[in-house]
Amino acid sequence: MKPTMKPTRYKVIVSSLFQACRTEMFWYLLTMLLLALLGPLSLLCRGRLLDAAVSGEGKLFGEMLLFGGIFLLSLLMTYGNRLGRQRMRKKLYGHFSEQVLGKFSRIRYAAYESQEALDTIKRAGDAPQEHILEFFTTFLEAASELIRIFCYGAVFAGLSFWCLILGIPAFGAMLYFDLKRIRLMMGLYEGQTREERLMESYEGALSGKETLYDLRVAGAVPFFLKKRKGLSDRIVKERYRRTIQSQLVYSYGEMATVLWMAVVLFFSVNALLKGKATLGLFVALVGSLQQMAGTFRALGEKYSELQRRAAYVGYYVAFLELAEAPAGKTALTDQEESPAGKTALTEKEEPLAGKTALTDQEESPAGKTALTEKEALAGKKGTREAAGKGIRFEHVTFTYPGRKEPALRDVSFAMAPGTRTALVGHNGSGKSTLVKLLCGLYQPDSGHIFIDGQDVAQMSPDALRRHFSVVFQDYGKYSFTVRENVELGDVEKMRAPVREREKAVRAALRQGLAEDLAGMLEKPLGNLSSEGTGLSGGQWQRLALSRACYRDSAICVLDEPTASLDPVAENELYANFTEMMRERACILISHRLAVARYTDRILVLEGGRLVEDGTHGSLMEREGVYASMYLAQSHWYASEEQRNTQIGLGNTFFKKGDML
Amino acid sequence: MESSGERAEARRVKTNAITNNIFWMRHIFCASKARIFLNILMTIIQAVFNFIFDVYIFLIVLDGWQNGDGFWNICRKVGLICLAQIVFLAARNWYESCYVPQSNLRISQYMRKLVSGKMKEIDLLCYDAPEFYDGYIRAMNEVEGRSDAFLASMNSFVNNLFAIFSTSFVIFTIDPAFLAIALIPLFVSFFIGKAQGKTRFACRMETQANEREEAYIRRIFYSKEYAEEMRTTGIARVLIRHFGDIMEGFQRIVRKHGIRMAFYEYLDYMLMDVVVYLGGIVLAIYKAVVTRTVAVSGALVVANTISSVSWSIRSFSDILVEFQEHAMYIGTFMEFLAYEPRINDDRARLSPQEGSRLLTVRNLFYTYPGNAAPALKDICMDIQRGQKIAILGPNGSGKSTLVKLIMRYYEPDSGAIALDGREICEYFVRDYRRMFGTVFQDYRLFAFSVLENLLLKDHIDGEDRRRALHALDLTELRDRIEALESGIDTGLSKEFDEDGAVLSGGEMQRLAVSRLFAGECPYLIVDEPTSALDPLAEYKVFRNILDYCEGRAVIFISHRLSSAVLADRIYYMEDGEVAEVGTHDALLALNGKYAAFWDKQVRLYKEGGHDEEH
Repeated sequence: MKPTMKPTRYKVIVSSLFQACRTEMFWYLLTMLLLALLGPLSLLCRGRLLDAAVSGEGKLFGEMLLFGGIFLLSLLMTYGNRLGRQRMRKKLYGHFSEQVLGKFSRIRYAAYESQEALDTIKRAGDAPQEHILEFFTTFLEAASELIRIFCYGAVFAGLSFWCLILGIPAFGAMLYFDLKRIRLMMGLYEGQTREERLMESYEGALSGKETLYDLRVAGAVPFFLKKRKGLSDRIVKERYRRTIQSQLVYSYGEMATVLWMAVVLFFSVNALLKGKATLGLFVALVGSLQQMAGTFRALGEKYSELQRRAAYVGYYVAFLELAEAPAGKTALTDQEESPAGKTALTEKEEPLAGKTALTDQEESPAGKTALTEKEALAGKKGTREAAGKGIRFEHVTFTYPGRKEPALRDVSFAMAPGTRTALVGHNGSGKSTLVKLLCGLYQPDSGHIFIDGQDVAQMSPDALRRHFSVVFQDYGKYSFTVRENVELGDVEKMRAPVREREKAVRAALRQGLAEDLAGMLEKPLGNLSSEGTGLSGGQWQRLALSRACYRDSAICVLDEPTASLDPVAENELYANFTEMMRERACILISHRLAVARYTDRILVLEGGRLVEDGTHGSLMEREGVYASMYLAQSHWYASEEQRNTQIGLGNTFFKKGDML
Repeated sequence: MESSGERAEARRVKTNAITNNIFWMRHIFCASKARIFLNILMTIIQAVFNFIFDVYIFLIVLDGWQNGDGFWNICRKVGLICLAQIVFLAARNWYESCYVPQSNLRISQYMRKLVSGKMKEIDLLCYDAPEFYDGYIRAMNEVEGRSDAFLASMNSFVNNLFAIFSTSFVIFTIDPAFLAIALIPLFVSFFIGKAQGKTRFACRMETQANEREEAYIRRIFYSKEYAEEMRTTGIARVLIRHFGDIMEGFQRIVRKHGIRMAFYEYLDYMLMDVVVYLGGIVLAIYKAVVTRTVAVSGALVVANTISSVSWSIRSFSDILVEFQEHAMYIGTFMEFLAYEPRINDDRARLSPQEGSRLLTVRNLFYTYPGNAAPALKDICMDIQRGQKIAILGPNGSGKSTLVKLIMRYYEPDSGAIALDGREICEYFVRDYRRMFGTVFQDYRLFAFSVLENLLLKDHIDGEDRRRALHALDLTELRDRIEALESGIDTGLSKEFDEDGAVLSGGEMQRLAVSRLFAGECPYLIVDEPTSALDPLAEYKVFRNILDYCEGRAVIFISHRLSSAVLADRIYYMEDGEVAEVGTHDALLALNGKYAAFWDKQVRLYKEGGHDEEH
């Protein structure tokens, strides 16, 4: 794959430089060129100065001026060169950072499951602009070294052509061995990443307070350290093995150059003694020799540097090529500018909804019955009962990439707007998967998902996410202030004046049962700031709930919202659930089946299939999976006699809905 | 713990550059005996050759030329030098390619062992003290790089020292005036350097906060944890905008200090090159041609070397700064190594017996350092082998703290914990702790195989495997695990292993509980072991835990009450105190806090509850 990528790599380098810092680029080029020429020139002038000094005073002053002038010029160029480079770096940095971050947020979620994509992501995490800049500067430096070599070569040629001719094999040998060394080291960088990532995770575990604590308490520290040592030794041994090989190879090349330099030295001395060369020329020759030695060594290193940087740019290109979530046909342009963003949305969708809704209804009989049942249930609810509104799943099947068994099989149901649905089932039955598909994180292998009549697969990510507020099981804990943590729930509100936002934040905190945090709105959390404070698990969870409440979306999804809450808080949540959710449709995933009572409808998933669907009462009567789970949980809270009778009956109950 | 003032004082004292660096040298010597000596030797020889090529060759050739020596005479001398150079190069290459890597490996292993050894010992309390903790992290992360840097600094030191003395001597013998020129920049740059340092420091201070935030935002973007929220909310755009602000902040800072920094740099530059180099050459020519006080060869040598001498003298101060920096790091390292854990085997004489029966807690008080209110007040508890104890209460009531004290991870402020009548400090720490098998709420599974995650030890034999498989049986995971690619030897993360298994949240929790079963400890501490399990699985796992408890003592910590019902004794805690003690029925009859707590939960599941709430 690498060869075909080569053109793109260099194209990217040149085009980014061109876009970001054109003037600086040319300035840098110019200064480099001049410096390359000035080096040998300066040496020659020094030689002439010396001659003039030794021979007669006539030309001395002139030569001094010349030498001084050239010296000052090269000084200026060096300095200007440095400045140019700094400016380039700054401009490139600004240019790239936002690009890279933007790309990160658009990559398909499924990418995080693929080994290759993870590798690419890790490498792209390094700043690509550094590599591009370094590539450019190193390339120019190498070019100027080559120019210098030619110039010095001309000086030697002035002495004797033999020097030049002998130089070629010496130089060639040096290059050959250097390249060999580089090839040895390159392979090292490629193969290491997975092991390096593993090492990083070990190091992370040993530096993270919580993980270290866990390790101590589990008594696993010696074992862990041993594992780490094993891995570290492996990585390091391999690295050193390659280094040794490459160093030995390199030394052959070095010898060759030293031999050549000795030869030139002899020639120079000979020429001096025989009067063929002036003292000045001799001095220039010896000076050139010293420079050459440095140059030879530098060339090889520059070449390897170029390879390495180009490789990183290649990763960046691969990163840019990572699949993005589909943009969607009905892609709404960024609604950020228009304050009436939300209303604009609904207006636009109305006509579409009606059209597709009709056709869908005709096609799927299942959908039809679901609709009637739903209508019956939601009879009390608001006015948005128009057919096609709400969520609808139609024969959705999905398998996680890389796995054999489907996580969801032929799941179909419909959910009216404003209704509350509980999603229950055994672990691994597909509940979280269903939610992730709904939010567009994955695409179903077959079947469709509709929101308000629109196919999710056709929607742009922005349009899609405006429908929901989601609290995932691993909700984010952001190291910003409490207020900012809540405000992240609805970024569109950020344009409103501060006082309004603060009111809304406080209201959200109240709804999310996190009133105790309302007194510390400006307190930074986490350890980004020195005043950052930590929150308990329960507090974080309630903060996440508040974040969801802050946004006034049509659909709210809660995945295990009471996992970290103690019973008092759990009770509060249930008691205030109705008020918290208000007019919104809500999907609730929970093991705590008590919550099912607060919902209009319960969907039971098992093995990826939708097996039961109804209210608490109807499902209990059915004595299926739901009933057995409910009994298992309420078993603990029943009175002693109830418990004893249930145990007897319990066996038969459990057998029915059991999954082994 | 000492106050922060005392610690700061201690830290200041420890940053004694010389002692710290010698300490490090001693350790390097222990790790790799010949390294330091060989390093210095190589550097000196290299410096000698540099000197020869810079200075001596000219002298030989030019003096010979002026004296009219024959070509072969001169060439013989030069040839000898070149030969010596080749031999040296060969030796150096052997040194760098064969000896140095092995030596580096030995050094890094040695240093790691020092750190790891300490890591096993330090009190858990230290993790809560941010200063200590940060120091420990730094010690761990930088240990390898620091050794390399230290040796490199040593090389520069020797190199520079030699270069300075040798070349200055030569120049001095030619004409002392040149040396004066070489020394000029030293004085001027001292002042420039100071001003530069101040500006650089101010700049760094201002950018530090920005840098940290920038790194944090980057991390959010490319780590998997935030990936879901990134795509389902508008957070990405906000963060990018925030990022843009940070970038602007950087630019503002740089603009503020940029000009001054550039000026200092320019001055530095100019001084060095123009004054010294040009000035030196002018003076040399003047002396050689006009006043004829200096031989041509001498003038040449001066012209060649004056820059490098000046540079060597100046960079000498840089090297001293490097050593100072090393000393600071080494000080942190030394402090870390010097730490004596307070929970130790000082008073230990025994190991817990096979048939240990009774664990008692009497009048335990504990306050977290830095907190005002005590976390535990006057706790009394009895735990008999074969009993099931439940510790319940709302969040923050002190349940986990109590357990940590029982496991001797913290020392109580007052009160005592005793095992079979003897205080636990009389038992060896490791043996005591090994008695406890635990499952905590935030268990962690590591990127090892299932088997290794279960046993968390080396040298796994057949008996261990059988135990592990049996443990999986008890949590109904056996079939699932054996169905994996390599069965029980499958890795537990897809991130590092293509064939790794990805388990659901509930399966992972069951695996964590399996650890308990595989451990075979007489005391079990179980903290919310089933929070991620569905009710049926919860029931089964719980039943199995209870069965497994026969002959062992189990402490359930929970804020869900399902575990309380079957406990032999319930301790209901609130605000650090034991509010109520008794069996489930007794506490219900008491009609106190526990009963109220219970009632809240039960109501949710009572028949007819649905209609009430709705």
